[in-house]
Amino acid sequence: MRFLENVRLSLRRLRHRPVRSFLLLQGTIWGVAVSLFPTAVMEGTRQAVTTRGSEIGADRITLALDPTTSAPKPLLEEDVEAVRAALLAAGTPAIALGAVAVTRPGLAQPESAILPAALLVGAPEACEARGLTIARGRLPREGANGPPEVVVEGLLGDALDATGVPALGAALALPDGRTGTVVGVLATRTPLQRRTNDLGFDTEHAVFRGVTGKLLANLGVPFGDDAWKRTDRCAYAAGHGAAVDWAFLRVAPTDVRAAAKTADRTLQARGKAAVLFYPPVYPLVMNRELDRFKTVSLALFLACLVMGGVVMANVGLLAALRRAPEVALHRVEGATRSDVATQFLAEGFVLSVAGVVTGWALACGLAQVRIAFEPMAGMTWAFPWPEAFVTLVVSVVIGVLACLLPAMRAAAQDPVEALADE
Amino acid sequence: MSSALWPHLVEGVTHVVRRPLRSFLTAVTCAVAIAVTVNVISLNYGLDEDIRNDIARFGRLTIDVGRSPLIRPGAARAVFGEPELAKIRALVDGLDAVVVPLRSEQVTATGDAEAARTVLAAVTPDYPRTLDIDMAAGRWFGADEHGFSVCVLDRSAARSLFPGPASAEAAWSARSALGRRVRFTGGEGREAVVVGVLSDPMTYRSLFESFDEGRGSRTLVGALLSFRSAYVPADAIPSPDLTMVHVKLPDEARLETARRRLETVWPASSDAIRPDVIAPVTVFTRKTWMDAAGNVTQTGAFLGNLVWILICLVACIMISTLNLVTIRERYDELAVRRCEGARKSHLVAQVTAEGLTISVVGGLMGLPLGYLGAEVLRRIVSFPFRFDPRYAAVAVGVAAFLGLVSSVVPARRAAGLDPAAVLTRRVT
Amino acid sequence: MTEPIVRLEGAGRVYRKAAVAVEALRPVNLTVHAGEYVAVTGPSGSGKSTLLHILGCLDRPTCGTYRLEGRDVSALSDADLAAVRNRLIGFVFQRFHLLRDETALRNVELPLLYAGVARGERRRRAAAALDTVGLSARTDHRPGQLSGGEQQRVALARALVKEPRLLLADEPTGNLDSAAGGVVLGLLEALHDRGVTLLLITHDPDVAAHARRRLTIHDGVVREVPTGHAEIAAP
Repeated sequence: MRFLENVRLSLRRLRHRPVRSFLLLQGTIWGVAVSLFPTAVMEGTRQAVTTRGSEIGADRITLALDPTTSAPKPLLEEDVEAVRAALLAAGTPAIALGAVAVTRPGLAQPESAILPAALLVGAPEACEARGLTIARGRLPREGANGPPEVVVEGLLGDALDATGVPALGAALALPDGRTGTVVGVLATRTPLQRRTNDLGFDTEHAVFRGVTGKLLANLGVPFGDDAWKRTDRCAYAAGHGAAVDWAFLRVAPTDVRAAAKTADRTLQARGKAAVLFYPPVYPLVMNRELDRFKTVSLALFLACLVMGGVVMANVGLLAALRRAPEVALHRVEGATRSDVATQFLAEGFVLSVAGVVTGWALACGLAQVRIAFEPMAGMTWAFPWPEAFVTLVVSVVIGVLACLLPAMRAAAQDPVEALADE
Repeated sequence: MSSALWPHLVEGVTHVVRRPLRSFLTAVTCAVAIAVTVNVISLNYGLDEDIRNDIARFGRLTIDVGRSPLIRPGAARAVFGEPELAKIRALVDGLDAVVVPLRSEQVTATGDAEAARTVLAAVTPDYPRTLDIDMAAGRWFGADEHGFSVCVLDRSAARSLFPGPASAEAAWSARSALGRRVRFTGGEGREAVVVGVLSDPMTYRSLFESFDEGRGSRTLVGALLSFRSAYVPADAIPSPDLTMVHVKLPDEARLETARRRLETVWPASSDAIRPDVIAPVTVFTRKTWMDAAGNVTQTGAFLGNLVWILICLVACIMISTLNLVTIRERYDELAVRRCEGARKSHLVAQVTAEGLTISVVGGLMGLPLGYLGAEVLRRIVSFPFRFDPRYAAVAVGVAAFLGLVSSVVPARRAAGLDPAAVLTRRVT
Repeated sequence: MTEPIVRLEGAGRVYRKAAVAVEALRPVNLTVHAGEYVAVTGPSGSGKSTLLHILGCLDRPTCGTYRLEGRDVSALSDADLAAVRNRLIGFVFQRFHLLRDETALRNVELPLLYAGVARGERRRRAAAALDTVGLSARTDHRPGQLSGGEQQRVALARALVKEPRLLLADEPTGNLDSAAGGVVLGLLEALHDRGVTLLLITHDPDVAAHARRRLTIHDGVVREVPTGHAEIAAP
C-alpha cells in the first residue's frame, strides 16, 4: 500500500509540472514512434500477404512474350505445360496455371445489341490463376460436344442480365463464328482490384500517376496493362491451338520469386523469351533478410532514448537538490529512505510508460500517413506487438536507471542539514 | 561602462569549463544527435551522389531507337530492320553522330559455369562509345573480327561464367576471363573467345541484382542494369531484324536536335504508355531516364533528411529543458551578478555562450561516435552506411545552431530575473 | 548644504501576488547625507530588505521618488540602473552570495568585469581589495574552502573594489560567530572612516550600537530613533 501511495505522490508531482513532464517525454515518444512505424508497415504487409495474398495479387505471376527480341518465336500452350511440369519438379507447384489468347473487341448476343467485351480463348484455369472465383454456375468443361462453353466476368454477367435475358444459359456469338453458351458468371472484383495492375500498383493512386508510373515509363518498364484486364467484362471460352498472348500463374506467395525464375529458365531453354510481371514489393517484404534493417530502427530508438535518459538524469539530480527541504520534511514526518527513493524512481517509471504509450499512438499515425503515400495496392500496417513490447521494456529500464542517481542522492540526504539550511 | 560583450562570452565559456561533469551530460545529448545527423546526411547525399555517378556511366548522350517493350498482344510486330537503320542515319546526318545497330537474343552462356538469361548482343566495334564505361580488362573487338570468333563480356557476366575457385572469391579479377571460351545456345558453332571485359558501373551491384531478379523483365534498362551481356561482332546474328539502334551524339545541343528529329518519325518511349498511342518502335533518350531517376534519388535523399532533423528537434527540446532547469538553480548567482552591475544583455551573452560551448563540444564528441556507429551498422546490416568527413563541418554547424536555439529561452529567463525578488526569496 | 546622497520622497513599495496586495513599505521620506553611518532595525518581515533593495536600485518604488546623488533613479532604464549599481553601490548580504565555483579573486573581480575593466587591471585591483580585508593568502580558494567570516570578508572586498559611494549591508554578521562578526564590523568601520556612506540592516542591538544614526521599521513604517535612546525594537 505504501508503494502505491508513493507512486501516487510521484504522479501528483508530475501533474503539477505538466510542461516539464511533457518536455521530458519527447525523447521517449519520438524514439518509439520513429522506430516502430517502419516495422508496423512491414509487419502489416507481411500479414496481408499471408492472410489475403490472393486479394492483393501477391501470389500471381503474369507472363507474356517479350516483344523486343529480334525474331521472337510465339508462346504456345505446350510451353505453358512445360512450365507447369518444371514448377512441379522444382518443388514450387502451380496452384493454378492458365493461358489465354485475346480476341477483341466485341461479343454479340444474337438477340440484342453488341455488349462491349473481350474474348479470351484459352484454358479456363486462367480464371482461377487470375484470382477470379465463380459466383454463379460453373467453369467450362473441356472437350464437351456441342456449343462451346463460356464463362463471363461479373460486370458482363450483370450487363447480360440487364438486357432481360438471364446470363446463365444465354447464347453468345463469338468472333470466331461460333456461338457459345454461358455456363458460369465470375464474381465481380472490387474497384481497387480492378485498378491494380500486374505489378501491384494502384494505377489511380496520385503517387503512381505523378511519380512511379512516369519513372517506370521512362525506364521502359512495361506494366503489363491491357484494357481488358480492368473491365470485368470479359468472357472465357475453352480453346486450343492458337498462340498464347498471356499466361497466368498462381503459386504460394512465398514461392513467387523461385517460381518466376523456374518459369523463366524453362521458357528460355525452349527458345522463348518472356516477360514476367509480379508485384516486386511482396517477395521483398516476405524476405526475412529484411529484418536486418530493424537494427537501424533500433539504433535510432536507442539514440533518442539515451538523449532522453541523460536529460532525465540531469533534471532529476537538480530536482533532488532543490527539493531537499521538501524531502526533508517528508522524512521528518516519517518517510523512510526507500520511500524517498521510490518516489523518485516512480517518476521515471511513469514518464517512461506515458512516453511509450504516446509513442505507440504516434507510430500508428505515422504508419497511416506512410501507407497513404504508397502506390502499391496491398501495403498496409499492423501494430507490431512484439517490437512494441520491447520498446516498453527498454524505455522503462532506461527511465528508471536515469532516475537512479537522483533517487539515491535524495534518499541519502540528511533531513536536519537540509532544514537547517533554510 | 563598456558594453562590449566579449568578456561576457568568455565568462560563459569559463563557467562551463568549471563545471565539467554537469556540462558533460548535456554535451552527451548533443553528441548523440550529431552522430545520427552526420551519418544520415552522409548516407543521403553520399548515396544520391553514388547513384547519379553510376547511372551517368550508361551514356548521357545516347539515344536508343528500338522496339517498344510495352506488350500489346495482337498488335502487329514492328518492322525494324536495315531500312529503318538507313532512315535513322539520314535523320542524324550532319550531327556527328555515332550510329550503332544492335541485334540481341536471350541465350544461356556456358563458360566454367552456366549463366542463363545472358543477353547476346551483336554490335559494331564502336558500341563502347555509346557508354561511358572503361574496360576492366582486355580490349573491344575490331572491325576485322567477325562472327563468333571473339566476344566481350560485361563484368557480371564474366564473373558468373568464370567464377574461379570458391576460396578465392574475394580476389576475383576480370583478367581471369580473358582468353577463355564461351558457348552460347541458339545454334551450332556459337562459341567465342573472350578478348575483353567491360567494368561494372554500379557501386551497389548487390542491390540491383535483386531488382533485376525480382523484375525478370527484359527491358533495355533491365539489360543495362543487370549488366549480363556478351557482345559479339555484328554479323554473328545475321537476322534482318534489329533490336535497337544506339545513336551517340557529341553534345547536349545536338542530342536535342537528334531527339526532335527522331521523334518526328517514332514516338518517345514516355509517350508510348498512353493507351491511344500505338508504338511498336519508340525513341528512348537515356538522359531523360537518368534525370528522372536522379530526381527520384534526390527527393529520396531530401526526404531522408527528415530523420536527422527529427532527432535534432528532439535533442533541441531536451537540451532546452535541461538549460531551463539549470538556469533555475542559478538564480542566486544571476541576482548577484545583476547587483554588481550586470546588464540584461551581459547575462544573455553569458548564458548563450554557455549553451553554445556545450553543444559545440558535444558536437565534436559526436563525430567519433558517428564514425563508430557507421562502422557497427555497416557490419550488421551490410548496407553502405558511411561516414563522410565532408559533412562533419555541417554537423558541427548544426550543433552550434542547436546550442543557440536551446539557449534562447534560458537566456530570456536569466535576463528577465528580478534580483530583488530572488534575494528576498519571493522567487526561488 | 550639499545634496544628500540618498533622498526618498514618499517612496513606498506594494507587491501584488496572486490578487493579494502586500504593502511591504509604506510611503517614507528619508534623507541620508554622504558619510553617514545608519543602522536599520526591525522585526523580520518588517520591510528592511525592501528598503535596502530600493536604496540599492535593485527594486523600484511603486510610489514616490528616489534620488541618488541628486539624480532621480526611478526614471532610469535598466541598463543605466545596472551602471549605477556597478559604480556607486556596494552590497554585503547575510548569506554572502559568493559564486560557488569561482575563486575568491574572481569573485572580487566581478563588478570590474561589468565595468569593462581589462583583465590585468581587474586582477590587480581585486588582489589589492583582498589585501585590504586581510585575505591575500586566500585569493585562490573557493568559497567552500573558506570559513564564514572569510567568505563575508571576500564579499566585503567585492563591495569595496569598485570604491562605492554607498555601501548597503543586510545582516552582515547574521551568519557569523561573534569573533568573525567583530572583524567584519571593524572593516565596515574602517570603510566608514574613509568616507563611505554606510547603511546597515541588523536585528542585533550591539551591532546597531556602532552606528551613528538609527532607524526602525515596523510593518512597513520607517521611524527615526533619536540617538541617545537605547531602546531598539526587539526582533
